Amino acid sequence: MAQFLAVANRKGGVGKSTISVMLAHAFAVWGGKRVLLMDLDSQCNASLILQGGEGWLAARKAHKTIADYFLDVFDESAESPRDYLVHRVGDIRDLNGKAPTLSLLPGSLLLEDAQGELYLKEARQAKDPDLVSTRVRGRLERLLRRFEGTFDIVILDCAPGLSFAALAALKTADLVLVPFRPDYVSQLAVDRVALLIEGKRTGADLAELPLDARRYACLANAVRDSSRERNISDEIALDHPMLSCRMPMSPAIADAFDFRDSPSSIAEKYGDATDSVRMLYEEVASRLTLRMAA
Amino acid sequence: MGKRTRVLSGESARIYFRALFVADPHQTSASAARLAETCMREISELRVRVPQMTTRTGTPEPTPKPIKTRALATAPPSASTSALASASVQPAPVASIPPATEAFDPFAFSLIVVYRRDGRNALLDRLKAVGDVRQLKEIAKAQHIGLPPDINGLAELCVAIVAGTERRLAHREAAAS
Repeated sequence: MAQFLAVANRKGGVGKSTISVMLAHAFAVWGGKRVLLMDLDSQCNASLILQGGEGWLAARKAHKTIADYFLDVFDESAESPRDYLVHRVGDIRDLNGKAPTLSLLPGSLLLEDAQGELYLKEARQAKDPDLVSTRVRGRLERLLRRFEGTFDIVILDCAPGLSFAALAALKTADLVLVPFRPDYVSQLAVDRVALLIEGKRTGADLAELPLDARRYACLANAVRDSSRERNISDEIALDHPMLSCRMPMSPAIADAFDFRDSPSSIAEKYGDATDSVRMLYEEVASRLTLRMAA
Repeated sequence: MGKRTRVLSGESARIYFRALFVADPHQTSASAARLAETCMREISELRVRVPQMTTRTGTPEPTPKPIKTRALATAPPSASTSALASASVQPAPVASIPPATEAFDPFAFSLIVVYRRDGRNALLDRLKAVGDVRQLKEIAKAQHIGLPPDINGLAELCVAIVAGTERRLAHREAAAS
């Protein structure tokens, strides 16, 4: 059975897609896992990083995107979910020089529209808006889970905001990774997404849940290692579980997300940030194992 | 001959820690300052080794009367540490070490973290220990703590910073509600 890892934050620009791709690479290459990345963000950045513009365009033309998948399979018809996946994606090679076992359900610019359509479809059968929302979310959860027998790790790259797909991903995930930039606004965003993940209404309710019992972990991303940033991370760590590794602000990482036609090894791709990527991978893998054991 | 030791606390301990970490090539001045403040939070007194000092005539200085105290930590016995310990405890211990004001880092400790972890009074004490109006104002400004414009007394400034910290916490709580 697959382990589900969501990468989420209601705030945009914190590095959800880049962290998702980084972990997809790491689990596939270093972990030797069968990895699926589901691009739930209509910005489609993860898809563009893994496929390049032309690969993503081909998926759109073939109607093999997350929006197509949700619309076509919403009624849980016999259509095979695997038909919507693109296999062996990415511009890296594994330790044997082969394309890693990394698959992608490509993102779609129309994902929000598709979710609206699904809401209206469900609303024809029920009048209560809350009930309709719950049903749509429930259906999407089941659709996300359709791949659990085929992969070892399913990474859910969530959109900022509160789409049905993002809520379904948060519900489905065994572990939610919350990347944040160490600044004041990100701090508030972490507080909010934590309430959502744990289904709590207030900070006081959340505080009753021990940090080690929480389903999420925060990750300081793009840090410059100033004492100011450390202070903000420390402040967040008072209320939220925090990964001990922190991703540096690094040109090597920024460069790594430019899709290249000629594949390279993971070490070549991440350059002098490779150690940071490995540390992140090892810590997330360990947290996932702990969550599954619990 | 056994090594002499000396007990440091308060500002002399802070200067010692800063010098110790600044000497580490892997630390930036900011991270060194931060580590020093972390040590200051955790360690009330420390006993450091003092290399045998000699007078100009080559005879050892008389051993000072030992101070009976509770040593909570000792510096790691590396070469650089010994050198720094030596520098920090000689008769003019801080002459070669930059004054604390030069290494001043307004983020050396988080007002929020101290308040949340140790409480209101601990933060007040921590601010009083800074002891410098200009630095306190710098801390407040850097950590986005609003202050009334006409406060210049040390004590009232500390109280105002604590109150500002409480307001900042209230803002955060409200934002997540």
